[in-house]
Amino acid sequence: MLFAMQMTILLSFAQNKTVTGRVTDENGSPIPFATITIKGTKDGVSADADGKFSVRVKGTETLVISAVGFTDKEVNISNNSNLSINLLKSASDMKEVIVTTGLGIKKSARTTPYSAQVISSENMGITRQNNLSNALAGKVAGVQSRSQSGAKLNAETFLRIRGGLGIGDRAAIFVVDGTIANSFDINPDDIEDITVLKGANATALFGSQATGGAIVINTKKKSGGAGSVGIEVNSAVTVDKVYVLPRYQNLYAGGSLAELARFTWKTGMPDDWKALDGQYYHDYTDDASWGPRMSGQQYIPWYAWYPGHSRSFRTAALLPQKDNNRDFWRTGITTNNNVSFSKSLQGANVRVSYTNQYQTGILPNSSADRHTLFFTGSVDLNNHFTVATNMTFTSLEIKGDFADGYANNAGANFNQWFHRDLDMKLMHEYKDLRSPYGTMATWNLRFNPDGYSPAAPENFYKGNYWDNPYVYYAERPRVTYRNNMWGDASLTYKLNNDFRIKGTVRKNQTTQHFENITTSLLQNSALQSGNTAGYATGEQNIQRYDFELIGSYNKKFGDFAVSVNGGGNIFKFKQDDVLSNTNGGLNVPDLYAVANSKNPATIGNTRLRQQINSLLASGDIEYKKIASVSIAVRNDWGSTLSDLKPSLFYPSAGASLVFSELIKTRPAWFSFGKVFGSWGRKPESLGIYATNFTYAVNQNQWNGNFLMGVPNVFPDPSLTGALITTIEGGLDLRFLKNRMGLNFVYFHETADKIPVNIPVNGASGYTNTTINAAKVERSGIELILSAKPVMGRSFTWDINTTFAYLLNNPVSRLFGDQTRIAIPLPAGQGAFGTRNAQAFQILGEDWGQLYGNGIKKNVDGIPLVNPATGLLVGDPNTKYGSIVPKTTGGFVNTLTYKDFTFMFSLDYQVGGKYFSLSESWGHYSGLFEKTAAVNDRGFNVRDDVADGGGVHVVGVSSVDEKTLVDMYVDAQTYFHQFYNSQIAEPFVHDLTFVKLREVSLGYNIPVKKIGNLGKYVQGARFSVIARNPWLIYSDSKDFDASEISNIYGEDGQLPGTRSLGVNLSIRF
Amino acid sequence: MKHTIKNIFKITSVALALLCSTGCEKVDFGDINRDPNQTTEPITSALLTNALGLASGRGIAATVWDQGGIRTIAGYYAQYFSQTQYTEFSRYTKTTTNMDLFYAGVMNDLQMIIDYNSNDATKEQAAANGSNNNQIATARILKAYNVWWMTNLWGDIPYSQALKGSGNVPYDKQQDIYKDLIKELKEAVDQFDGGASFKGDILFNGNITRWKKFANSVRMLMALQMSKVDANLGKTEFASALSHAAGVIESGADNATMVFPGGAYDNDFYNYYNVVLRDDEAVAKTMTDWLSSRNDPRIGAYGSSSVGFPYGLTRDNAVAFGNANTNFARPIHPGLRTATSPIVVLGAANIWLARAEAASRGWTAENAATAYAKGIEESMRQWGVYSATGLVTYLAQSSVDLAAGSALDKIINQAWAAWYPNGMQGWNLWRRTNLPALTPAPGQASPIPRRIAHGANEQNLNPTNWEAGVAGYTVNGEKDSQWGRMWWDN
Repeated sequence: MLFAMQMTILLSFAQNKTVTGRVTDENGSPIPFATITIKGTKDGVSADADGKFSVRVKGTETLVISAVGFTDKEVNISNNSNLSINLLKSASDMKEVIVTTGLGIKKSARTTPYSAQVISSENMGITRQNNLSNALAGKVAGVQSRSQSGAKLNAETFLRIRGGLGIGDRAAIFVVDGTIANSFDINPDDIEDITVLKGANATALFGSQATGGAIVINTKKKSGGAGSVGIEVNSAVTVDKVYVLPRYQNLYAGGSLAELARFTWKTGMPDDWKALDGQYYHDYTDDASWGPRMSGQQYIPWYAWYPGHSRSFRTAALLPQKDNNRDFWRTGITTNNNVSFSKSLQGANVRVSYTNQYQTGILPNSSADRHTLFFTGSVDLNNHFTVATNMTFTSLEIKGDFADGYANNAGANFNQWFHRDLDMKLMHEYKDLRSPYGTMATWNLRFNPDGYSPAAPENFYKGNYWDNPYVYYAERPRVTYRNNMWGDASLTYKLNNDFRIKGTVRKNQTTQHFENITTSLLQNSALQSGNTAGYATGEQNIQRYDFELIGSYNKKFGDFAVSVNGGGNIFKFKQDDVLSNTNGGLNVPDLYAVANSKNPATIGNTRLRQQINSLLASGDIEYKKIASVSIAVRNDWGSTLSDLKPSLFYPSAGASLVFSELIKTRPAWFSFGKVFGSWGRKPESLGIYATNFTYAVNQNQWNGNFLMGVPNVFPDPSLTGALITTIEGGLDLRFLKNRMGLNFVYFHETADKIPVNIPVNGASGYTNTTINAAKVERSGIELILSAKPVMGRSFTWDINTTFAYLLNNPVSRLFGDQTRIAIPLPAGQGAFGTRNAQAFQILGEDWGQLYGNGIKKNVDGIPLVNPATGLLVGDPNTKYGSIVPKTTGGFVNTLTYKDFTFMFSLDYQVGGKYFSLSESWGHYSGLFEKTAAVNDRGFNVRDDVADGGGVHVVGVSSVDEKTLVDMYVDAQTYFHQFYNSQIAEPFVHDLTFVKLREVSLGYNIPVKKIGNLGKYVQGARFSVIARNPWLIYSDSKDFDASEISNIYGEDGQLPGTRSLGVNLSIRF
Repeated sequence: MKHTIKNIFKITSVALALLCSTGCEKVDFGDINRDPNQTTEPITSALLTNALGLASGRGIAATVWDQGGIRTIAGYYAQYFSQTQYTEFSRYTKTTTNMDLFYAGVMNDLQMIIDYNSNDATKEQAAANGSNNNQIATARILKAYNVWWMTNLWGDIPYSQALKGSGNVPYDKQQDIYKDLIKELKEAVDQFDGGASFKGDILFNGNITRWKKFANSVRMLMALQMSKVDANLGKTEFASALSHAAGVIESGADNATMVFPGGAYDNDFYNYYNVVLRDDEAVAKTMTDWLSSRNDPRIGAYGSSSVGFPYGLTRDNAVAFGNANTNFARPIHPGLRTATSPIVVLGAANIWLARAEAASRGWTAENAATAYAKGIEESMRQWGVYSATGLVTYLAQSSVDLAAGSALDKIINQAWAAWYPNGMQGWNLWRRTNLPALTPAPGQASPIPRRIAHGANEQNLNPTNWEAGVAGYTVNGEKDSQWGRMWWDN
């Protein structure tokens, strides 16, 4: 505050009369940063981001208003002191692009000294994606979207900007009108534009939360011109179908025994079973598909053992069910309805928008219902005060959503452990089928019928590992309610046109409640499924506050424009969780209450607190919109920082020069040229309680003795926060009257001595330590190319492409003598990952190396084969390569013909490795196509080796690494060896893909020409949209490489979907 | 313009001055970065309860059987158990296990007890839970017990430089570790003083005499484990421990038995079969055959039935056998694996049979036959199948009677049977003596493993020392091999 007052005193000017005004385009939308000069002088001002300006004049001058992309206009002031100025678009120029940075500061892209890509709402919303991050895929240079299937409800896509930094992976934050929000709470319909900020110089003002970059979102504030009322209705229906699934073998049935077994009825067995005496069955107990060849022979299907239905005790033909996985997934339907109202008056505008998005998931019983209410408004109270607010309220109810991962009962079940002969329609038909003992019917029985024991007959009917998936999901109801409110309220005091002070309070509050039930039926029906009946519930309350006070000074002095912002911010974070669940089952079956816990119920809570106080300032000087210099500084005092370094100071500076303005004889084709460069730092703070070394008390006592363990994480006493440095430079060029544009950026970032929690050798007494370790650098180039190849009266074609290449991303220092550190995985991820392939940071190599047990080869690269068994030899130090793709990019094409608009976006990725756990198990279990392929002798690999079958193995003897070994190996032995010998190599793939991600064909309904409709309706547009219509290329044909969500790869995740829909939007 | 630039500089310097006027000092945020759910001071009694009951999995009882973990796999190698569904490990697929959680768990809890009771700044506070000496002595004994089983699995391991906060820890030779553990046990037994006993002791309930007997008994077993490589030292230490004034475990009342309260802390076998509902483990037919051929009454206690599962079948054959014999023997009779059933960690039976072996080897002047009979009797008592007449009949069988010949062979066979279900001990015995005569998994070319290989963490986090530490365990070109041999197995 003192700082702000200082500025007022230092900088005051005097003229005679104040003229205010607003510069808009033909539609009444504001033109930001238009230049207002007094004709004949060099004096003038810049309009603000809303097109508003005020200028002190003598009283009789003429003002010249100019803006990029518009024709200049002259206005006589005369007696008018409040001007409304309309500029006409100039035919060939591009619109001024406005970049939004920290503190809501808007800058013209013309003079921005760092990379800040702006995505317009049109390019972002080609197909109105449910999820904002998916909508950004392929449209931002240098961003890898580690996305999850669109079918996964409530999933937050991970956006990795410019490769890896630090030890773990980190995502970008989303900032909506200055407030940090969760990406899936942001309603794409309310977005006006998005600025993506990447380097330290761009994100410095956001502080330590933006270490992974920032996606800065401006919401729509108004529609139509001053005084007009805007009503928009936007409705869409999309249908989601499962897209890429692994290629399965469709020749061999379930079980581990290659022959059908003959059933012999014995005394003591149910009398009904006599009907099946002498008939054949396959092994029900094993959940793999190494069973008999399916040729339509009669066999006893699983359901035939259960009485009481039309197929009881009857055989059926044993036939492959090639689409049984696909058949399981429902067609998901998403409806998205948005209505918004807005009105702008002189000095005031409001917008209210309501959206309902209802999605039924592809998993049975799953749905997500989201309501979003958004309000934004601002009122100029008088010439000095403006009050404004942005508020979003989201309520979300998610039902039946399950964590995917190893051995989940759907995505993983069908790809890791399943029978290829199971008919999903019958599985669905028999979801209510029960055994005589009340347990559910399952395909995976604990015992085969010869194991029926009259002493314990119920055991025969119990499931071994798996339940009928339809029953499983119905018997594990789970629901999450989530309410999220975020927004801000601000009061701006405008002393004069040059100086203003803005105080803002921001809040983002999330409350969440969940209830998970596992029914007693599920527990009683299986022997080894691990489903214990139970109930879990919990509450989470997260509150984030920001208190901002910022003074701004903007002034033009002759050819120089000066802009200074400074102030302070207090950030407070508070999280409170309460969680309780039953343990060991329920005392009263089917009573789902915490108090009904068989063993002591778990009752726990978490309390997290954080505060950061900051002072910050930024300043720009611009010369004639040709050259500019910017600086920004911020200092944080954080509650999580250690006493050794209680604050972090981070400056940044940059400059830009529009050199095309300096070229006197510029060729006609060269429209614009800018060169820019910057340097900056950003902080890496410490996590909440990271410096604590404290002991937790175990909730459960042992006969009155309480328990306490020494923590496994040891914080280094010298632990402090650190800084990351970015250097960036680039060129922005436009040609042919701006019909072509090229933006080129080179960046280099260094993160040194960053605080990380890393695994440490347990013999130290601890498994992890938090320490300032590691030095990681990254550098790369980013290219944005835009072109308008066709710009006719009725036909136009726009192309926007992005391309990024990561030059290098080396880890040049680790900790102590360690040469590699495993990348920490989020909880629940990476089961069995350590047995196979795992991602590490390796000294001297690029960030995120996938390492694991591969196939050992001799010096000539020929695999070693054990000459006795034909089995491969594992090589524990096989390096597969970085998990980060080197190249990412995409195209957005817009073709307009009269009232039709055709848009499509395509994106691609080259390089980067992943390991598929499902594929590994799917081969072990004989599910994948290769496990029943035809070998080069023309026989199925599953046929006996002696009969011409077996997998052909060629290599050199593991004994001398020279002698050629050429033999055939029994298929099951061959495919089991990869798990048994922990060899990951066949299941490691490139993340390379090319995907047609979005297509939309829109038609602007010519409402003006349809009777009187034009009186009421301003515009209407109907579109047909398709999402993920075509995965053009993927290294592995079994999985969609664009939807691999885990750090190191695929882990039983949900299949991707392909969607088709229609969208209607009407503007009144 | 000049004027403007001057102003900008003024503003900047004022701003920076402001930053520094507050920025050069720390802002006091109070306690907000202190987790309100946790305490900064450890309570040593709670650390002891944790080390005994829960640390590194499920406490000291898990050293006997750990629900399919590494100590259970040792039980496959000893052929106490056979896998019934996924049979890789009973067919010697390489298993690798990280040591991290044992060091960072139970061992560091014990080290913290020692440090807290030794440090001048904290020892007074720690004494609230028992005299400093009694706490330190208890922790040293438990630490020695834990290091002992660890070295018996991996061989050379980090020891003398471990638990000091640094991750760069060299490995110690197994023979040096053995010598130091024996020294530790000796010193610890003598360190107990007349002060208050250690609170939180859920194993011996603060009974110092029983701790001393436990320590002496563990020392005897360590000494015996050296029979093949250093019989002189073994003999000396065995005799020294046996003749120690505090005595050794001699009857069931002295047994180191973990008694489970049930509920949150239940018996491991109960947890596996009744809570987690797994069914992967069976009593190996090797064991049931051994018992039935001797008409051994323990057969009724060791499993849910007397139908042993043939050892080491392939998956196909295992599935077929399981279906044909759905009543195959699951480990421990269900009546002996309720939620609150106790688990014997070290019993009088094991010590008497060790004494029988020592006597038979001429290490002591004790009567081998008497100790042998006592060992069998204590084992039967431990499993609740003892009867005086039954024992006499049992001992009279030529397959049991020492007088009928092959005395040492019979003693070790009985020791193997009495250690059940403690697979690590059974495997220790077999590796040292090649007894009982075990047949490797059928159709499996590889012999029975003699060592556990390290998990990936050792290579990744302690690479240089790991390289040196496993140097002696390369077999047929394979580094860190499961066929590498212990120092005492050479």
